[in-house]
Amino acid sequence: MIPRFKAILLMLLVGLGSFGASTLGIWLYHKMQSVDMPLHYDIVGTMTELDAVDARWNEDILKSRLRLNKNYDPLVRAMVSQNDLGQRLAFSIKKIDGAHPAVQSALSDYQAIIASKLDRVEKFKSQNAILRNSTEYIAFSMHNLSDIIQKTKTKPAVPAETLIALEHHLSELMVGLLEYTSESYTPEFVERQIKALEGLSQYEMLPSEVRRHDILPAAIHRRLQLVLNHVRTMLHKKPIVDNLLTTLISLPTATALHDVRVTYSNLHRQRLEQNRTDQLAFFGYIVLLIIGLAYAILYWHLSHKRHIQILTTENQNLEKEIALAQELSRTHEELDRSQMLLIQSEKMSSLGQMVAGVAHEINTPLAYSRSNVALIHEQMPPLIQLVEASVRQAELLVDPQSHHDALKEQFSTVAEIANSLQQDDIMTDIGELLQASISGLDQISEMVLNMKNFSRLDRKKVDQVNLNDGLESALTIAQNKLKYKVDVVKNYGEIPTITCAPSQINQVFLNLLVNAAQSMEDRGTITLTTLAKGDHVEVRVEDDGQGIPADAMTHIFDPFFTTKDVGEGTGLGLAISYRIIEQHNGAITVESEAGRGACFTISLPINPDAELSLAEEVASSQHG
Amino acid sequence: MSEEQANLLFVDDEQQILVSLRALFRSKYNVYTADGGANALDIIRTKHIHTVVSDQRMPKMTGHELLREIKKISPSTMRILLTGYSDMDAVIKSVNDGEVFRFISKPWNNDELRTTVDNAVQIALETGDDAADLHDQVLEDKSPVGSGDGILVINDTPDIAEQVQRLCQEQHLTYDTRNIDEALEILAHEEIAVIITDVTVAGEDTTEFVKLLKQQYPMMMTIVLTSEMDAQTAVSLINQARIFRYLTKPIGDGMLRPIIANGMHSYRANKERPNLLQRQTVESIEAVQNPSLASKIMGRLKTLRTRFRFSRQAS
Repeated sequence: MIPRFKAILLMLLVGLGSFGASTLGIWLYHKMQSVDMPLHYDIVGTMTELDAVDARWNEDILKSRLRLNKNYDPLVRAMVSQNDLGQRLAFSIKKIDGAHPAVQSALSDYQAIIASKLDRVEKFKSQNAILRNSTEYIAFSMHNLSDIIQKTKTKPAVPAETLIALEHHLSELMVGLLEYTSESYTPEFVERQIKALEGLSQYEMLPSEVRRHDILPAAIHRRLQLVLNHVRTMLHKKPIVDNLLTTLISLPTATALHDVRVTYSNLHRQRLEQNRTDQLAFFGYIVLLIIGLAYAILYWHLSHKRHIQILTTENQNLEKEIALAQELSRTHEELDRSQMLLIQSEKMSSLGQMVAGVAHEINTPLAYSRSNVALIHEQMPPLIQLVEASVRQAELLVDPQSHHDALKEQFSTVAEIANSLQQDDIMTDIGELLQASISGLDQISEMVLNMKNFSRLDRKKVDQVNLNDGLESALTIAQNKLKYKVDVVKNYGEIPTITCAPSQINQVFLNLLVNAAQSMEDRGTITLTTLAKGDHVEVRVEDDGQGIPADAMTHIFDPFFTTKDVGEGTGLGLAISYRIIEQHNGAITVESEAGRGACFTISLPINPDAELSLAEEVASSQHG
Repeated sequence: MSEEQANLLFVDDEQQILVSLRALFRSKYNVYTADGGANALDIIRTKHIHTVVSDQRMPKMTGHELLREIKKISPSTMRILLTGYSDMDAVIKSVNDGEVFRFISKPWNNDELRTTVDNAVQIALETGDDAADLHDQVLEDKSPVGSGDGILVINDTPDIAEQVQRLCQEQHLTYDTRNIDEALEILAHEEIAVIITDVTVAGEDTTEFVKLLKQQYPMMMTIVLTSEMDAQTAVSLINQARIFRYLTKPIGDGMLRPIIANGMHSYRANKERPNLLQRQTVESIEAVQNPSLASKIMGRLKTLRTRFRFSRQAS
């Protein structure tokens, strides 16, 4: 479960990581791409164009002023160009992301200047149109007036000298006007001519009776008035137009554009620098990405490899574990087997001890009985001789033909043999030896019987027995161990027979007796007590041997625990005893103190509950 | 059956055994019996007993303990152990402590027992005077320095020879050999008083060699030093090779030193009083299991005989 959760978490993290990385990458890419070079070139180009347009415009304005241009078309064209370009520049600059207040303000300044310039151009256009109209009218009227004057000269009504003065002043006015318009002459000369001309046409202001007598005809007068009006208009508008023109030319469009250019250049430089940084960042990002990717691939590869390694290791570990488990189970089996072997060896060892003990017990009566019988057998020749001699004597006695001498001789032979036998106490010996042999054979019989009783191989596995008999049987089997060092005190009580596996119980008794005897360094006493306690029978085996040390008490029934020297005990005796008593639903306990002997108490139920299982267990353990 | 009957002492806690033994020997010897060590020692102190036959397992005092005491009190008494219980411990103690002449198992064969007892009594009668002062347990080797009585070690590893060399370099030459051939080579050229051997050397059973050697050359004292514990082998080595000691590996200096000293002492006593060699008599070897080895050893040993003064005494 947990590795799966971890895998999901890892996937999530990887997903988030790659999303973040790609977002960062896109952002960086955009940032890097934000310096749009075509736009930049467009802006720069627009500004250059604007410069050119501005210059041309100024030129056009001057030309217009000087009436070099026939109309205002170039001026309008320049204005349109200026407007278009300005809008394009503003648009282009707006396209550039990010805060660039300097450029914006420079641009808006520029646009403001352009706007005011346009405004002034409009004014200039209208004022200049008036001016130009007046100028053109003056030229036309002059020409017309001069024709009329020429015609009037022929009429005697008008004094000639007036007409000539008129022509002169008009001509002077024209020159004055030309000078005035082409160069920046002050208007005094023109104004002087106007005054003169006004003076000539003053009679207009005279009363009508005088007007009949005026010297200028009405047509001339009227036309002169018109010319003079236009001249006055010219004189009035010219400073205005001049002023507008001066303002127009002096308007700092170029400077404003220059400012825009400079701020934009700064911005561009900054942006280029930023861009380089961005490029670096992007490059770094790419490099990082590549490294990351390489690392990821490497990691994946390594982790894959490691994973394989881990898998391999795990596999090996698993194999090892399996091997270990197999080894363990084998060891366990071996242990089981060796435990079984040990139990078997304990059985064999106790059996061997029993056999050795019994063999020795049998050996002694066997030895003397055999020797006796052999010795008696040695005495057979004189006895046979005696019998033969006696038979011969009897034959001689009953034979009527036998000689007395022969009979006498036969008597003496018999007597000699008999005496010899008598003298050597042969017959007594034979009697004694035979008696000893019989008792020896009896001992052997008893031993064999005891062994049978002890092992009960010819009896039911589970039987009703008196435990006192079991103790006796165990005592005879252990006799060899006890004989020379142990005094046995028997406090047998009146106890009922119990249902048990006697051979097993006897084995427990034998084990306890042998242990007790072994606990004695020199000599000692074993006290055997039996008593009935309710539905149980209690057997106590008490010795006055070395006792059990306190630290050994808790392990006393553990398998393989032994206080005996190596080779003296398997450490299984008490463990097996414990198992046997347990199988009988009984209990075995021990009280002991180091140096003060030990007392083992066995409590066995008279009727074990699980009689059948006991039989089975016992039967199976017998096979084991 | 001469003018004076020899005295036998039988010791057994089983009365019936004593009855039988008495019945078996009383026609030929003065038979004394005792049911335990204490009574036996009483008899030993009061009577000159030529041969004692004792049970091993008895209450209060075991057979080998009794024989050890008897050896102190009456060194000339021939000691025989008669036991039905030949555990290794008893066997080793009977040879090392009791220096038994024979180790006999129960149940016995009457004829064999008679032969052994007769043999022992005969030796006791013939060597009694010489053996009377064969006192026990020499703890220090009093041999003169460089006396030339060599010690032959036959062992798989050099450690035993080194130990012996360390213990006896003042008095004796030690010869270290790895097999029977090397041992025979040494025996052919050097005077050997004590042989220390394992029962198996170079994978070969040496017991037969030891038995043949003792049979042909009874003066040499044989010490078996081994880790093999086989009562049967030990008994056969006692009866057929009269081994002086049966020791178990490893052995401490404190134990080995007096044993070598005692072996040297016995060797020297035998050399000085050839009569005593009879006490080194071995039982006839039951069956030669390796005839080629036997003939080889015999062949080599025959050439050795001339080197010793008492070549034929024992046979």
